[in-house]
Amino acid sequence: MIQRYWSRAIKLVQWGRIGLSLRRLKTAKPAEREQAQQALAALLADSRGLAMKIGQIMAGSHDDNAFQALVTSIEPLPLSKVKTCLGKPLERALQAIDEASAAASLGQVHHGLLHNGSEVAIKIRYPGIVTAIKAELNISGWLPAGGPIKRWQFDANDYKTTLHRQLLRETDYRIERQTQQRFRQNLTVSGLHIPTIYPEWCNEGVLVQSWEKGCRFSETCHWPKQQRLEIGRTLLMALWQSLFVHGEVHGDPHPGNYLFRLDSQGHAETVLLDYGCTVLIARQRRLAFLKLIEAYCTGQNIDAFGCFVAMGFNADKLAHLQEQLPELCTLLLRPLLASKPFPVAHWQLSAALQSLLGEKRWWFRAAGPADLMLLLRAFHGVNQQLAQLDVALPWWPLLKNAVGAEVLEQARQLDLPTTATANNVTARTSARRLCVRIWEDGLPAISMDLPPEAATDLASLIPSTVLAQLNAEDGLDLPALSQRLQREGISPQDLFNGHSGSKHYRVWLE
Amino acid sequence: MDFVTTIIHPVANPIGAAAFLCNTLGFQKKSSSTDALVVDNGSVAVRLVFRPAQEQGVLHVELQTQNLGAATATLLALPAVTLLQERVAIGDTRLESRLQGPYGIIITVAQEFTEDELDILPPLPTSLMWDGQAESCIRQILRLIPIDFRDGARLRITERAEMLAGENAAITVTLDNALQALADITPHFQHPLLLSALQQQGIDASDQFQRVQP
Ligand SMILES: Nc1ncnc2c1ncn2[C@@H]1O[C@H](COP(=O)(O)OP(=O)(O)O)[C@@H](O)[C@H]1O
Repeated sequence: MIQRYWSRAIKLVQWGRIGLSLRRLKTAKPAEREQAQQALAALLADSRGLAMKIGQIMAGSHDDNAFQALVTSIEPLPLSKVKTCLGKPLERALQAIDEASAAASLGQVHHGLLHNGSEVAIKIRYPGIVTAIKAELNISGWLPAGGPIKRWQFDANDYKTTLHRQLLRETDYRIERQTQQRFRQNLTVSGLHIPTIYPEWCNEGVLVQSWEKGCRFSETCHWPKQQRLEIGRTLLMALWQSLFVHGEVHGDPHPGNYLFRLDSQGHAETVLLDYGCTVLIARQRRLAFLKLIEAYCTGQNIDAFGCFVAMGFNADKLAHLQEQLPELCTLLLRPLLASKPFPVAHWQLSAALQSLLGEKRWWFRAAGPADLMLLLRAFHGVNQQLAQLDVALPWWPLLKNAVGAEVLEQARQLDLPTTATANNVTARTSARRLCVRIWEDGLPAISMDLPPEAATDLASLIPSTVLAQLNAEDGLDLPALSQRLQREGISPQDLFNGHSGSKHYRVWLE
Repeated sequence: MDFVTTIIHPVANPIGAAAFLCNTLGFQKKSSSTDALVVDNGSVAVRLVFRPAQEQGVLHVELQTQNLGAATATLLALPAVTLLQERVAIGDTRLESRLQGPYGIIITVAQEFTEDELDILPPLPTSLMWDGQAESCIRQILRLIPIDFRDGARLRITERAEMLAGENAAITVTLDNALQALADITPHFQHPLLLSALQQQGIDASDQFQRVQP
């Protein structure tokens, strides 16, 4: 379980290193290669944002600037270089096409005019980007199973497939096209507009859709209250409807993916762009979440623990929080529980969580499945936007409306799994955290802080080969250590300290 | 938590100051020692300590009254009290007169007026947009609710109406939402009164009131 953390930690360190090695590549770069690096950086920067939410900030990964510089310095290519990608039918249909107006992560967007007078946005994937990225991945020592991957027995294949899947998803515009069409078909939120796709000209490397006019989010913050309220409502309802009805959520809620404008009657319209990254949430999981919300909002008894487990939380880890769970729910659901429109700007969620859970909040994060964390990012995005819009909205009534009576009824009817909530961590805990540090050749390689209870489960935290080495060299007896901690309490102390090859490990409770 | 209990007033004549506070402003002597006199009115205490005249401090006291004119006149009739400022408006609901008393004491006489006395219809504490008729109707009708309950009622009607609007995914509260909120949050025995008052405004709210179970 904690192993997952560990692997994330390593991913983070790895990504930090890729950032560095990209920076170190000082040789003259052909344009294509540079693009590949930028695209790769954008991709990794994106994933890294997610992982950071889930894990801890690791030693050596404070490398935001390297990514940021790469991501923002992307210059679109001249039209002449990409025109061949359009394909004959589209070229024939076009009356005019402008130079690129915006760089996308793996391509660029052109404004075009069809002979029938319609304006279109044409996203063109950089030619050769896929092969270039693959080559770049190899150069950066990403895919070869060496380094940390080998050291921690990382499943390099899993790694490769994950990365390839992500690459595929991002580079194949057909997938994005289908996703966008699904969203267009399924979402019926007042004020939400999803651009129309022109499937006849789309392919793996070209995405053609209606050209949308509008201004950026920052401008709308100066709009009159009515329009700000309309935007806020649309953003909230779109999130709920996509989560609870549609089961697929836009996973990239940053401001660049929205455009805003007024319709002929002066109502605000929100255009949602970029369907390259979405999160799928299975039916039972989303219904369990809705069931929990509904019970809390209507004041009914509910097995919150069971709901969380049905949402995909790990029961053993969550068991650490069983006592706090009801209060935790009221904190997390606060805007929905308010009997009036809720001003998000005043919502101090992290501070409230910190004071309720303290170090134990680790267990909550650790118990949550990765995609739910992505979902949290979507929620967080909308919250930030509502705060910036400076509007208070009636969350629960809007949610009921967005979801509809039928889905609410399905949630009510959902049977929760019966959960064995045996909590085997009974040791008294006076330590505040478990600290793990690894140095390689005298330099910090990994630095992690974990909940102190993890000390009783070091066996699942440290890969077995490393354990075997430590066992042999330092006489470390983990089961005995674990038993002792259970018996005597988890109090501040050094747990072990040892060398293995060029590495130096230190694990302690403080 | 520790509390502030006492205000200290450095004064050239503590005995005279104590007498003034006790005789005209309702304080009572609480204790006296060689270095201080303490007077108290049940919610605030003043410790009067001796200082030479040139170091005397200023003690601002505020007197709440239901009748600003009469209270001011009574104080001004005292020998050492003079007028500093008369009937200064503070915000929409408060009037003050300021008087200079003896022993460095400045008295602010204040009267708070209710919205009825001022004949105003305060705005609703809204978060959403409100239809003009809905808002003016609720502002009017709130007049009928006893003043002591009115602020609470105003808040609850507004919040309730906005939640009802949300159920229709609306960001503007309609007259229907407002009337329903009124019916929902007012005690049942008041309904006939409210219904007929609404009728006088030309509004038929019987549907909304019927939807509420007694
Ligand atoms: N339909 C459209 N109408 C107008 N501009 C668009 C449209 N689609 C994309 N753009 C512009 O292109 C930019 C990048 O597009 P996006 O789909 O976000 O690419 P990526 O996800 O690959 O970064 C957007 O921020 C926007 O400025």
